Amino acid sequence: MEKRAMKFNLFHANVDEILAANEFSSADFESASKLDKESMVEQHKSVSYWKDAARRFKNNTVSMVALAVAILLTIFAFAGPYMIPYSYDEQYRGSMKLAPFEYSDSEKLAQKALTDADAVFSTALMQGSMTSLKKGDYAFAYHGTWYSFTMTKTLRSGFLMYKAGEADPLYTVKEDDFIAGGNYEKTAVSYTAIDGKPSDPGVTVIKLSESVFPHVFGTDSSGRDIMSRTMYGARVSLLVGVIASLIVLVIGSIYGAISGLLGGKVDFVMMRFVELIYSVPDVLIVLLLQVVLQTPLQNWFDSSTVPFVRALSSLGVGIVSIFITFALLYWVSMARIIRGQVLMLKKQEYVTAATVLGASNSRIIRKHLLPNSIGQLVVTTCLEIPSAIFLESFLSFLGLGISAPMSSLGSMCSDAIDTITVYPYRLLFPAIILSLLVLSLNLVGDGMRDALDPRLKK
Amino acid sequence: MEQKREKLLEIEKLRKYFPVKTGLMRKDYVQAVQDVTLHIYKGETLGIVGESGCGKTTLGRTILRLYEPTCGKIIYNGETIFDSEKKIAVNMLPYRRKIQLIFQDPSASLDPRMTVGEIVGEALDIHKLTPGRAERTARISKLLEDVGLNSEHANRFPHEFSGGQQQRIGIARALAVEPEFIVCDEPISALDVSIQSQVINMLEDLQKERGLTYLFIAHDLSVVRHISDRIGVMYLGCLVELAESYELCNKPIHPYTQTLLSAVPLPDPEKNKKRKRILLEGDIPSPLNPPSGCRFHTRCPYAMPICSEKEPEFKEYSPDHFAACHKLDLER
Amino acid sequence: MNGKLLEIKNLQVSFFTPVGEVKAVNGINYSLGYNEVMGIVGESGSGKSVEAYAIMGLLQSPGRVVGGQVLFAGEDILTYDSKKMTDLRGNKISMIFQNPMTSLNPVYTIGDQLVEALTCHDKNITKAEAKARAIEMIELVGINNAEKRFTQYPHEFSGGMRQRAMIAMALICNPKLLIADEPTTALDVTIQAQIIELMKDLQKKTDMSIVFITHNLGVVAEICDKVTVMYAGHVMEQGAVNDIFYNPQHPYTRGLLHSMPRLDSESQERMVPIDGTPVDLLDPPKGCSFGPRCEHCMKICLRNVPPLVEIGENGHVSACWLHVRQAAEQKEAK
Repeated sequence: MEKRAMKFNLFHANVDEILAANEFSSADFESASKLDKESMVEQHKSVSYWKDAARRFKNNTVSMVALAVAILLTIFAFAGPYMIPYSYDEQYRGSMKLAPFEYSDSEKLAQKALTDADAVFSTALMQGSMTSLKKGDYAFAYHGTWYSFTMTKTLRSGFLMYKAGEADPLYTVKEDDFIAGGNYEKTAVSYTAIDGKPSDPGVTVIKLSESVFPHVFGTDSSGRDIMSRTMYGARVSLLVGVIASLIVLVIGSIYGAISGLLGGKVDFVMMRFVELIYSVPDVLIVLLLQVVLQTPLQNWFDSSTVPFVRALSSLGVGIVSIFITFALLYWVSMARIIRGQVLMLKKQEYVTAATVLGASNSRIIRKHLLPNSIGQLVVTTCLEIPSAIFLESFLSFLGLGISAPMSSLGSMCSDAIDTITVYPYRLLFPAIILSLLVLSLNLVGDGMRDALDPRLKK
Repeated sequence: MEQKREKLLEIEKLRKYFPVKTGLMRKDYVQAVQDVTLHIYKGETLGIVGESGCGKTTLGRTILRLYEPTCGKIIYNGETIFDSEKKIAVNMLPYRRKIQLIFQDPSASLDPRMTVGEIVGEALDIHKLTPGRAERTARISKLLEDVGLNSEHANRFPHEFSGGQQQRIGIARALAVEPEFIVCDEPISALDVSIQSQVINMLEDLQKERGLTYLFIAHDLSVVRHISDRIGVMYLGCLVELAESYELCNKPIHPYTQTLLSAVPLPDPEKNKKRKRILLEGDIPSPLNPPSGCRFHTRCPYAMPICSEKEPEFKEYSPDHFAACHKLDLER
Repeated sequence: MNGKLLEIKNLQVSFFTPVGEVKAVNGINYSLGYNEVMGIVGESGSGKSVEAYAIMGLLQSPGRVVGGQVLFAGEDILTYDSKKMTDLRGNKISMIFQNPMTSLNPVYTIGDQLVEALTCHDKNITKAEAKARAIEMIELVGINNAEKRFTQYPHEFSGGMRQRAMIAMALICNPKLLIADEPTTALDVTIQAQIIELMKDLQKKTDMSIVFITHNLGVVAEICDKVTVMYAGHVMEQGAVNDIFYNPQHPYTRGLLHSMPRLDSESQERMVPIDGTPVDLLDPPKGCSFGPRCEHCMKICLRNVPPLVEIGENGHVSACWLHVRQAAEQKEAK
């Protein structure tokens, strides 16, 4: 229906003047049909609770940035190791104590070698026992094709180089010869193409590098790449954080829900118990637990054959004792929050309505109390994660918790303390990653809490 | 010829006290409902009016046994469901199908996380009224249409509806169990004026169609008078007068009822000017520490010495017209 | 005095929310003389409270006055800066609110709050004088034991007494205009009667004008001289109280009066409700905002906003196309 321009004084208009100033047709004064009326009233777009919360979260710049950072860190922790060729526990004798982006002499040599060849295997760049190519059978893959060759003589301090297109593509060069410069002696190695990766355990598979990947964070005293270790440490921290907060969630929410629901004397007793746990100095107990649990846990792991226990033992005594500590001590704040939530929900009219309909207690819990608590549960769990990560780092820093060869951000910091004046970057990188992780998760949790707060709903 | 009407609900000397800690060792009681005796006939609407602290909401919920009565007797359709003397307190589950409640605040009484269909269907699920899914959906659609909504509203959430529509959903939910008796706890107080009469008409229509009995609790005398067959007036937990609607509004005998009626402003300027208003002194006392004897004696314009000493008896002063007042005894 | 104390001219207030502009007040007009009581009637969403806050300059973001004038004793107070408004508030224009508990500061005694109201506006008054005036005020509003009550805190007062205390605070500086935003809605009916009698009494004693905002038509009939009926931010009808109640012209006003159960009606006959649901202010109907709910709705009603047509002489106006149609038909009949 198009609006026609009308001329009249909007206030205190005189009918005669209106009639005089405007044209009215009889169609104007026809009754409007029900359909006409309904078309004027649009059902306005309704927003569901979660969409509304998501919109509020999106509008919160700080939370969105924090979320992005947290996601990046998670990718860093889990996908990162696939992107760099170094592993967290491999020690590269030739690349010890390097600063960030610094190349060791051996690495520089390898880079130089790569200018002359397509791919290189440098004994100096290898870790552990591969510092020399011993006699035996080997295989490698290059651009999809597998090749095998045999070393008749042990190659110490040398390069195995591959240059496609040459008469003898595969050859070895002694490092000393290479350093001397000019023409160097190339010893050809015969090789054959094979079908695929050999399954024979007697054949050692080696990897030819086409470039030397920089140590972005440097290396430590044993030649381990710090970035790789940081990624691994972040992964451990995140996993421990998430699992610990899940444990806290389950124990705390069940305890808090029961206490809030039953009320009365049961609630009274349960909450006094909670206060008891709160009043205990947690650091002291945690340290005690860590020390006390070491031996029994180890014995349990060694002696048991149950698959679940085997799985636990693969995590290591340190991590499992952290989980036990959480399960014993840190569920109390979650219990309090959930109890408060349940107490508030109990008073809601729709719970009364369900009671009037004849709903049983269990039905009320399942259908009314739980769904309405999810928001609070999610937020509290999300905020538990950084606390758990921080606690684990704290413990590992003190030497309890994670034990070598596994590393977490905390243990890395701990290891780096001694050399802080000489190699500050060893402490810097794990500390920065840890701080960013905890900060971003806290900000995301805060943002979620604000987004889900019903009072802010306009 | 008067037919003997069947009583659906009878309560005798129903009392509800709430314990409250007023000191370190002291325990006091909020005397919310004090010895209320009344009955409701099948198919009628009994209205209960009163101001804040009169206990009308508590009365409604105590009848439903949402609050356990402190003492007294509740008889529903001839069966005693609660008797403090004989220590009878039956399981309410079968009665939950027969007695339902409509709430004052419609938005608070609907679970915000459930769809309308789930809310209305919950009643069907609890009492296993519709074993098949198709039947359940059909029933829910019919219920929604009965209260003036569309069946397609079943997939929406409560917050998407206006106050009046939310109240309709609440009514649909109460109707789902096919009750006989509905306690309406201030069902229109929270609604806009232009919507109130829609809901009132709907309640009246539903009553006629389904033979429902209502206990209609409200503070707005005009509305209560319109919808009720009989009205009970409560003050500070006590029932002070009970009579047929017209009778109560035109020939009130209890001083409080007279005050209440004169205090209601009419949408009629000239009538208001001509009316003689009885204005009470002071404020309503607290139910924590009610006045002795007749609870109204502190504000009553006709208070006598006996009023502060003895609680007046709730008696019949003319056919079907009950009151509790010492002054009326004198006039007899 | 027959000058105009308060003139509202085409006042428009909008709330700029994240989901859109809510036109809470869409151009209202009224005037109030000295010693008059104007009732503003409307349901939730009608804009009645919003316009009161706009007059007092108390609108909070995201609300804003987007047009119109508020002339108080001839001056447009919308143009006042905050200092001038602060001088005006409590002094020349006072306001009382619906919920007295939240409007009184719980940590100060009633006496302190009354004295504060005085000393804010009169720098020369002595403490003793202020206390005496405060006690006088407490007595005037019908609270007994004024001396004792002066030293008590709000939580020691009952609901009705708190509202009286609020009225005392509002009136202590002898304002010319009192804006009462649903002052009796939260009160019991017997207390409401007391407060209305008090307000009527005080209004006559102090020659004050009142803008009385409510949704209760009974209260309007009790206390008001003139009435403005609002719906969805527009004025539907305006006029003297007898005109509105005995000769309502607008379908909405009529609908309201017929859909209310009356204590003095003879029978329990069925009420005639107004169809439909209240308007969504985010997306109001084009044309008359009451159109979709009106049983007399015409095609023109859905297209164009109706003019406020004069009916009779007392300043009785009604915004409805029916009057234009009636006049057109009469003209044709001639």
